[in-house]
Amino acid sequence: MREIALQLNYQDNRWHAHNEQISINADELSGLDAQIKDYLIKNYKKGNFKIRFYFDFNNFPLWMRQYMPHYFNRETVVSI
Amino acid sequence: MSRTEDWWSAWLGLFFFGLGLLTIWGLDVVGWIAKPKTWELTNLLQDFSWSKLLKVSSKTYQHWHPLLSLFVTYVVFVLTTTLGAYYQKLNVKKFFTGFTIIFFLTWLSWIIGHEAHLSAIDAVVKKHNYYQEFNLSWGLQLGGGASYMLALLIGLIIGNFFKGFANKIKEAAKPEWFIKTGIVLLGIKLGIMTMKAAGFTYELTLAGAAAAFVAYLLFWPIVYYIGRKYFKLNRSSAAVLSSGISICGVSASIATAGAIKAKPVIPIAVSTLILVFAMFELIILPPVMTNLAPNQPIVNGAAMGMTVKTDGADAAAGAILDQLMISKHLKQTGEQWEEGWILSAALLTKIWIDIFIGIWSFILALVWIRNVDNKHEKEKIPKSEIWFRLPKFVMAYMLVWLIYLGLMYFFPDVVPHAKIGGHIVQGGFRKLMFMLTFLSIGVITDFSKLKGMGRLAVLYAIALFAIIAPIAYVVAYLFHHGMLPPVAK
Repeated sequence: MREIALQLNYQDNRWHAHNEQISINADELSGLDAQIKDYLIKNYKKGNFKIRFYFDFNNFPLWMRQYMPHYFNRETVVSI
Repeated sequence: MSRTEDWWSAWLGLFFFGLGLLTIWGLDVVGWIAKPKTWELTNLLQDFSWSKLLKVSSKTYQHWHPLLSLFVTYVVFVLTTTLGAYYQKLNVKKFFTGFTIIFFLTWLSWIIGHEAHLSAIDAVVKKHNYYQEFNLSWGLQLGGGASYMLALLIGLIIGNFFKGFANKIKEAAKPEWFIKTGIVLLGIKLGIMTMKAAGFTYELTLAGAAAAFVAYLLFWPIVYYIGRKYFKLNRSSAAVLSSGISICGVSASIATAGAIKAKPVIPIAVSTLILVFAMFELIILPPVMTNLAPNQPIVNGAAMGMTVKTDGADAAAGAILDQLMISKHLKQTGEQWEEGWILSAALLTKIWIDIFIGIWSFILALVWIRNVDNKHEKEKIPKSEIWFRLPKFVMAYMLVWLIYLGLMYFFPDVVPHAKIGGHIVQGGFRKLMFMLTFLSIGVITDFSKLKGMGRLAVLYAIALFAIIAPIAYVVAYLFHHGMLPPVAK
């Protein structure tokens, strides 16, 4: 299974995910999943992929970070 | 392990704890820390001397000038915290300046709070009755609580009326970091308490664990139901708010929001609300509990731990309650309860609640993926999420306690020597961390942020004062009624 890692941000009321090859955004996380699937179909034709989203905690105001230093990481599996 | 305040609370706490342990080998490298003394204004003005205001903590450093002691205290604290700030990638220059200002404002309030008219109690404490010795005609008789309340007041004035100045020092206003470090050092107190009254301490610990189940399994569903049914909140907002109100405040709201993958705007709004309400709880509850139930110190402490949100506000409220109740009991009976037991009751409850936040979030994440957000059947939750959300300072607190227990059982001969350093660190270092918390929490609390919170603020107020506080008190009463702190010798 191939792995793809993306950094996840939330800005201007939208989720943004990016790495060196991919840059996508959507209103909901499910929208990101759909766009990732489209990207994989276009670039790889077939295969199983583990997609890891790492939330960038810098999205939170500085004063909040002392209370909990972690938001979430997310993994999805896409088969095409 | 060096990037977050949580880890740095553990490192800093363990470092100071380790320094204190050196007294086992006859090395006192902690006794230089400055402590405030009880003083009286007219007496000071007649013949000013710094030694009337400050003293060093141990005989080893008795020959030091009090200002040298204060300066060394400043140097050690500013260096260790700035090192932490550097690794946490904070703005080091801003932190250094901010911490220096916060440190000296803290000490100013600490010293003023020890003025006899504010703090002295008309009873014999450690062979002194300062009320009589200073011939006072009146006094508030607040004990150590006067300094805490003064530091909080100064912080709140800065945070709400001098916002430009507050912004300049905010980089170093880290109440959660300071209080978590203080809590690690409180592990020493728990160790010493266990030596004195093992059964009582274990009972306190187990009752705290039971209270945690109440927070998760009783408070959370009630608040969630009311939020959904009567306030028409969406599932995410109701869940995040329920965790914030029921569990451990800001950290729980972030953990829950992360677990259910809510948009970050939700925990940001809820956290702002929690912080402002925590301030109301911190100001209102200690005097109310002290006056309504002066004979139930441990019940009051445990109820505080379940009611007041965020570790910082809970510890601060517990510390004020500790001082107010001890002072009131002393005034009424002439008998002094030992310091720290009421505070420990408040904290042990909260610590158990903190411990389970990672597991609770993991369960919520599973429920959300399978039952609420069922489009993501191929989504997995990494188990590492539990670890990321586990508060690391709690591990350090437990470690400190276990080390003391280990000494007690395996090396009882060294215990008296360990206690010398332990008392200095638990007294001087821990109290300074608490004082820094009081001032900092005031600086970052801005009451004007309540504007526009509408429905959420109303739900929060109802849930807190009509549901959480009364149930918490009943549960605390069931587990703790009749328990009293030992009498100080």
